[in-house]
Amino acid sequence: MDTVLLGGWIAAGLTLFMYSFLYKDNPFFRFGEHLYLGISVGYGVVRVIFSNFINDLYAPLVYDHDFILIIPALLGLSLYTRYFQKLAWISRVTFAFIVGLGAGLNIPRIIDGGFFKQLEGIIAPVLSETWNFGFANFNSALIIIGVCSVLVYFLFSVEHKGAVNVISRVGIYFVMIAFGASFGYTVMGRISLLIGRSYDLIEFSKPEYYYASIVLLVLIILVLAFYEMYIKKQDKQQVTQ
Amino acid sequence: MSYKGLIINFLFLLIACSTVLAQETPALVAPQEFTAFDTPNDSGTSISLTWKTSKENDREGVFYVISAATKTDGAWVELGRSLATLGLKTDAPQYFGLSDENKSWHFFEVNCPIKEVTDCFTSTVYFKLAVTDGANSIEFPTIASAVPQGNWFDASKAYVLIFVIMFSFLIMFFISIARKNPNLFIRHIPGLDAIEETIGRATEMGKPILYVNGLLGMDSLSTIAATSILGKVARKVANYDSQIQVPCYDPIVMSVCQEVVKEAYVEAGRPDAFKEDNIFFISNDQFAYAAAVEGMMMRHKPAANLYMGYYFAEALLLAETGAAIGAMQIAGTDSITQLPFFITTCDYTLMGEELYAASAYLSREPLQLGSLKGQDISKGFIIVMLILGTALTTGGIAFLLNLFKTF
Amino acid sequence: MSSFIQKFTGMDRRIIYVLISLAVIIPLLLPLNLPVGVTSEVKAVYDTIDNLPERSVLFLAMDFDPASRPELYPMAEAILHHAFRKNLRVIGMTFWVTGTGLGEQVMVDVAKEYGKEYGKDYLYLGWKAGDFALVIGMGEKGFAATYPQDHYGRDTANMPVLDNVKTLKDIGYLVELAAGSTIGTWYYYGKQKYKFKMGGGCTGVMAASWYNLMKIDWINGFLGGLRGAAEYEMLINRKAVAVRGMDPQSVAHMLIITLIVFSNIVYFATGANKKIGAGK
Repeated sequence: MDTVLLGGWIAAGLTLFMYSFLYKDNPFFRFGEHLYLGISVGYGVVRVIFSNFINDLYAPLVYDHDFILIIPALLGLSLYTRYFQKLAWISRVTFAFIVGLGAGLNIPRIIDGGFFKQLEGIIAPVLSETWNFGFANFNSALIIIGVCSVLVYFLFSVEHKGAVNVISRVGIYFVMIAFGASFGYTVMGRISLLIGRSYDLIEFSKPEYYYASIVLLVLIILVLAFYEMYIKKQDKQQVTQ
Repeated sequence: MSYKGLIINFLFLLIACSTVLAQETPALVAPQEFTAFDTPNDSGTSISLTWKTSKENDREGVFYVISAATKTDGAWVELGRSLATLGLKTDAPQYFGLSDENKSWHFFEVNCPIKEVTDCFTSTVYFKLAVTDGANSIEFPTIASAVPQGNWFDASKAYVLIFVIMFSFLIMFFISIARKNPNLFIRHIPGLDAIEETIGRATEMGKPILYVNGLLGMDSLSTIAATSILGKVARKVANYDSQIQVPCYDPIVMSVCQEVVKEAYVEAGRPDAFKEDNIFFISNDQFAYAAAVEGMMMRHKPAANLYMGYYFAEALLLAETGAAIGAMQIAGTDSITQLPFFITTCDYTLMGEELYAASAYLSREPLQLGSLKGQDISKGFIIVMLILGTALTTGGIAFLLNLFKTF
Repeated sequence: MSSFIQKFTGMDRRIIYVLISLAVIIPLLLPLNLPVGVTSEVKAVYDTIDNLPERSVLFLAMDFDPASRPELYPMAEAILHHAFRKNLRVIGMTFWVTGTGLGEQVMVDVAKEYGKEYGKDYLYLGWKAGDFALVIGMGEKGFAATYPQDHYGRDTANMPVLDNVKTLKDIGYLVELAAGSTIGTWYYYGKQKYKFKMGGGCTGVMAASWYNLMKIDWINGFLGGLRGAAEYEMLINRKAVAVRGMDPQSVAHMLIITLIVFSNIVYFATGANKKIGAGK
């Protein structure tokens, strides 16, 4: 059996199953949904076992006698004590380690690279050295106005009245414009995903794949049509009863 | 004038012009003030070399040659060649700051281990510096040496420590105030009024409420805020004798949510009505989770959907499906990329910090209230700094800009 | 007129699904060959890779899964074509367990076209749990210490591809292809400390926020969505999947813009904006 051909039919079939949701919820979509759930979990479990458990814990422990790994192994296993009420307190040690490590590593880095770097990027002259107002200066002015007005909008200790209300309205307009740009980019992204799948479906509709996409599309439509008729018949019978 | 005279004059002119036009190549001079020292604020893996710039040496085609050895009379290994027009102290402001004086010094960083020389590890390393233009070469007369040592404290990041301390004190101060006075003012957040309306609607229609916690774990602020709001929602659901379903992405979040909802039912005096099966784990794969929740929406047709937490690409999938079934939807997320979709598909959206504020507003917990107040003060401070910094930078004073400079 | 507006506002959304599908499928079957311009953000990534000395190391972090394959796989393909043409060494890896197969597939397929040898010209480290711990490991201890075995279980210690390249400080350029928030991991635990050059590629969803990352010098350039991949293909003179995708992209966008404009005209013409109260 040609695995590429089989893979093509499976890929086309499952793609069409999931797209059938656009019509309405149906057994094809549900099958695809449950299959995806199971496969993603199964694949993840296998990868974690082989890439992590065996390569990073079992092999170094058993073959290289790297016994220090027992400590992180015990810390990791202690997380499962959460399911036993009397032993659940043990998991707090691991959580404390995780939270402490996370905070210690993250906080200075985010403040330095995420916070101060942002401020550095915002502060820029709004007039050039020769006191001209060029495009770059206009950009800088727009950014500073936008940042400050949005920060005012997100002040929760001050009632939005008077001048604060005006500034926060300006801020919300900046926010909405930014969201519009983000939305537009996302629409582009979603269309790109559709293009990608359509490209593959067109590939799988070629003679090399025995017109997989077309055959499966026709089959799915026919089955859904019969299913719809069956459901309507059942509903009619229930109503008459 | 005769021909001979003309030719002689022409030759004199030619020699004079060539003498004027030909630039004399300055002779190389020995590099000055060559020093080696342990690179500050590192883990002991590098040594820094500095020497003075010079007009005679610093031109195209000239290189500084650095060699190293573990003994003064040992085998010298050439480490590298630095182009004489490059490699100044200004390239490393994290070590030398932003002074204009740095333009007068060359800088070269040697990383450990030094191949074919030494692994370093607190042993002394000796360095020689020479300058060459290919034809000639002059060496600095003295050998410089240094021992690489790790530093416990990165002084160049001291501003981070100062900021953390100041910010922490501010938050702790306001938490202590909030403990004495839990009625600290928080402005009204419109989306919160709608929560009660949605629960009432669901009860009237006899359909469940779907509460989705987002896709991050309990270490995320948005998930903490979401579980806090879940407690308040669950209490109202218990009071109204309605049903709430909480499909979870993370198993730990599921256990926390079960506890939160159980406690809410107990507080409402309805412990018998609590069903643990209504709060369940689905999958920690993004789209598998989304597909399952969408399937649930289509089958159970909840009257209200609440999306609180952090979301990725599945946000629009969930919200669109919810809109398609006609459910009332309220969202709250700090995920900037997903906010636009929630705004267009949901009836109310809590944007970013409004989610955290909503949690503080509902719970009135001193920790959350104090944090919110402290953040508001910080925001005010930042607004002032930004406006001041921009004004000063426009006037040519870079003080505040340099204050926020990161390396 | 009012019956038309009523029909339009009550239109089944499945009609729009069909229109969008046709707007995508028809240009794929009947190409329009619309021109594709190049933006400065993509050019910056291209120029950086183009100016890398021969045999320097390009580190390609392919942090995406099959859900983002249509946007990020063409980027990885185009960048790998460029890298192998410039005779660079390439190290690939991923933080996404479900993306392991994709990363391997793209590296092997493109390397085969240029006759590149595994272990000498390119290396695939695959997936390993650890996120930031792996970045710190690669920066401090080195690639071989952090990944003692590659994706295929082979020892990395003496591989020629890692000659003179021990840690992240020694690489020429890192390109992060992100479907999630891993750019933060690479910056906070990687570039911020080890000071390597970094560029990126992201899905269309995140592209708007990545301009900010360029402004604050996290990355020197990036490829945004399928469009970014198409621009890169134009720069390397290899029109493939991404460029082909620009025709349906443009047609679909025109359709969406037309529908939005028309819907807004109907919205304001029917006075619907006055009837719907505050709350949204």
